[in-house]
Amino acid sequence: MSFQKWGKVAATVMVVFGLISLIAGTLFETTSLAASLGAPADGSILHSQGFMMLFAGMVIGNLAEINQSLSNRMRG
Amino acid sequence: MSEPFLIGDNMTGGYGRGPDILHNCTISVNKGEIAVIVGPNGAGKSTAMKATFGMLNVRSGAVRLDGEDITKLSPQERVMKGMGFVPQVRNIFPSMTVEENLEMGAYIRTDDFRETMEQVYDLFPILRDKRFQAAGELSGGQRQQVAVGRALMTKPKVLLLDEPTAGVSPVVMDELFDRIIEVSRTGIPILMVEQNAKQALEIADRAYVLVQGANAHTGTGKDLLADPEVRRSFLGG
Repeated sequence: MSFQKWGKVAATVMVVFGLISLIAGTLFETTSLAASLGAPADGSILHSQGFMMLFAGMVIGNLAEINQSLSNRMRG
Repeated sequence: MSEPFLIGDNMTGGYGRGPDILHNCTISVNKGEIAVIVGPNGAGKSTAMKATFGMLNVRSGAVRLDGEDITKLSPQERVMKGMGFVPQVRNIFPSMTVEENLEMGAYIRTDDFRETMEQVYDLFPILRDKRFQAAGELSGGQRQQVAVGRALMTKPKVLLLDEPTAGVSPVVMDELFDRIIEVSRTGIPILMVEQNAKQALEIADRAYVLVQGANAHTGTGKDLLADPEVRRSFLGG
């Protein structure tokens, strides 16, 4: 499969998971047990993960798009 | 007079954007002490403890640990500062073994925690015998020992216990109180919420009776046990 195709699939999956992580991070309820361990128990990990996946997904998606337009231009 | 080691000073606040549950409530514990918070159901005992641990918004007032204002810190940051907290329910990982639970307690430790684990096993010998057993298979009293042991793994400077004897038999309750006294003798100040007011006041160096989120009576455990109004209102005469 070409980069244009798998890049777009990967980008879509990453953007979807990124958005899910962002929503889950916002809805996350601090649990007493996690907090008592000194663990980051406030959804901040999910937020960071969400932003990273969203950003990576957009980068890969754009690269796939650029790759496709370059190929089209070279074909003629 | 110097300030107590841990103090929740004039705390007013509640959960989320809900109404205030605590009204100018003050609780504190000093080094070498056991402080207990007692009161009727719905008095805000656990809420006061959670406010001290940073699990709900304190709209006014302050929490200070060893003179440092920690009001704005998150619960996990307070653990880093030396606060150990044992929640009332869901305070262990039931599918993990006793030893794994203790290891989870050492989540923030970057040094070798085996010595601390041995100290926990010395304090709670039954846990050494059951170290490879799933914590969920233990009795109520043993689970509470796991929960307290897990909190001790962080090497806390102060320990907060939310109803450590909830749901255990009177015999187990007495044993747990003995263990709590032993923990206190290791030099860790203990702030404890208790339903079993009489037994808790008997071991308390400092005690607070809360009513509707406010301080109703404050004194030593012996003072409050001898107070006729406290006896009549909260101890059944």
